[in-house]
Amino acid sequence: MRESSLMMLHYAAAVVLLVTGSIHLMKNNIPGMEIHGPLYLVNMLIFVSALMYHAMNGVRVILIELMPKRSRAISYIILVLGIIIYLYIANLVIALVR
Amino acid sequence: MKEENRGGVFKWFDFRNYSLERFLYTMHRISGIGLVIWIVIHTIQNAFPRLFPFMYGWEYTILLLILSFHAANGVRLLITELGFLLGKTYRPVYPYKMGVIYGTQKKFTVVILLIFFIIFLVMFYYLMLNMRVIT
Amino acid sequence: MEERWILFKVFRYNPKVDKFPHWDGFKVKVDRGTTVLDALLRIKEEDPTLAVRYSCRQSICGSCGMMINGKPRLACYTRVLSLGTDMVEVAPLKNFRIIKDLVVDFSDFFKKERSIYPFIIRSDAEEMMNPTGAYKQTEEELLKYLEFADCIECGCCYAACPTTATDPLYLGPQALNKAYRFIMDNRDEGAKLRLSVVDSDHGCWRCHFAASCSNVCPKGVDPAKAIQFLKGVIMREKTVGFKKEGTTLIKMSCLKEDQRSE
Repeated sequence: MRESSLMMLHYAAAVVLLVTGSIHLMKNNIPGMEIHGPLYLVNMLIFVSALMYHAMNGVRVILIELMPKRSRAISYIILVLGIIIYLYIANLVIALVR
Repeated sequence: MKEENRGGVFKWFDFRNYSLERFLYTMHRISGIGLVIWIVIHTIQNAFPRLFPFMYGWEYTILLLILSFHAANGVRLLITELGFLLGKTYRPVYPYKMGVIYGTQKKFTVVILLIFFIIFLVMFYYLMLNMRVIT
Repeated sequence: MEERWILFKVFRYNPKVDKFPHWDGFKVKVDRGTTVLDALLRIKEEDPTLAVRYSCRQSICGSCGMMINGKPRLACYTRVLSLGTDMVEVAPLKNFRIIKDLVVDFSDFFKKERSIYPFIIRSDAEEMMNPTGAYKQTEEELLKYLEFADCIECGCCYAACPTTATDPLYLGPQALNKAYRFIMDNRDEGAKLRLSVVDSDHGCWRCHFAASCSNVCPKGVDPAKAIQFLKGVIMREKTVGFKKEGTTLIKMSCLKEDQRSE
């Protein structure tokens, strides 16, 4: 994929994180805030997806600047690691929010 | 090799002789790495809740600082990297004090730093509330 | 006339002979108008083996870029007393390969500039080969790119950028600034070609807006602004499409007698 597509998704994920992250923080820290059920689960799943993409792309950018000749290898390793970690965290979120 | 003469990773953290935007770049990198470490810690905490019971404490202040800074500076980067609020182009006439580090973009940066401060204060208030320091 | 003695700490390194670089100290008497280049030439009278690159000594050729007290500046443009210190440290420009002492190798820098096609590209080949007139531009169309065309290719922005410090393949603020200057020039029709070079793994997306390039530019060119505008153009091209108004050609026969060049 072209670099600009990856960065467009990075910015989109940032905006999604601002919204879903605020809902997550508000539910857990403001006493008296009540959001339960499937809506919160959907919120958390979207939050975790956007977070994994944003964090993995950020780590990928830093690694590419440090090791510029191996950018393809870095991109593929980050993709595979990202999918594995995302599946683990999504599983954990579904187990906890139920 | 000294012949190569590259700055290396130290230049990411050396903002001594430059403007505010270089300092914000360094802080954004450090806060990004800090937040990745926080994701790992938070996942382990939630995966083994009996070994690491959740308690509100003073160390969360650092997390709140890092989070609100990265979010506020991120919004600034999002808007300027789409080409908005950067200032006009002009015929460059000495003494050149009209560029991107002086005009509209600088005012926008000051507004963003105020937003960072306000968001940090709001989150800090709720942290104090939950730590029972204030009621 | 106020005169002072200033200590100059000059970086000395000859890769063919020396194992490690060393610093040499020279005391030079300076007054209000002495520039760092003047001081270096006086040092050269004492020690003729010092290698320094300079040409116009009026900040228009871009040859004398070097790290003066840790910041990349033009030696002919920097007055010694304006630095405000008793000791001035002069070192070669960072992020370039050192040839000898203060002279660095610009071949990589110019290769990156050539890779973004720094010339006007048009599709009407007949007009390009045998020109019959001039292209007209209004003041607004000129202002869109004129500031970024003042670049003297001194390399100071490339030395200040934190991304070039770790990434030798990064195009650098000078090449990206030039690419934007040609994309926004409405006489040019080669935007797609340049966008595919700039929108790559080591192109404009490795810039994170540290704005050190604009901070050190001696001609007020502002490459940081050009690169953010360039990112905006790429995003606009992906979503709503990027269109430029073309120019009109004024034929020679329309110009008055005294305006013709032939």
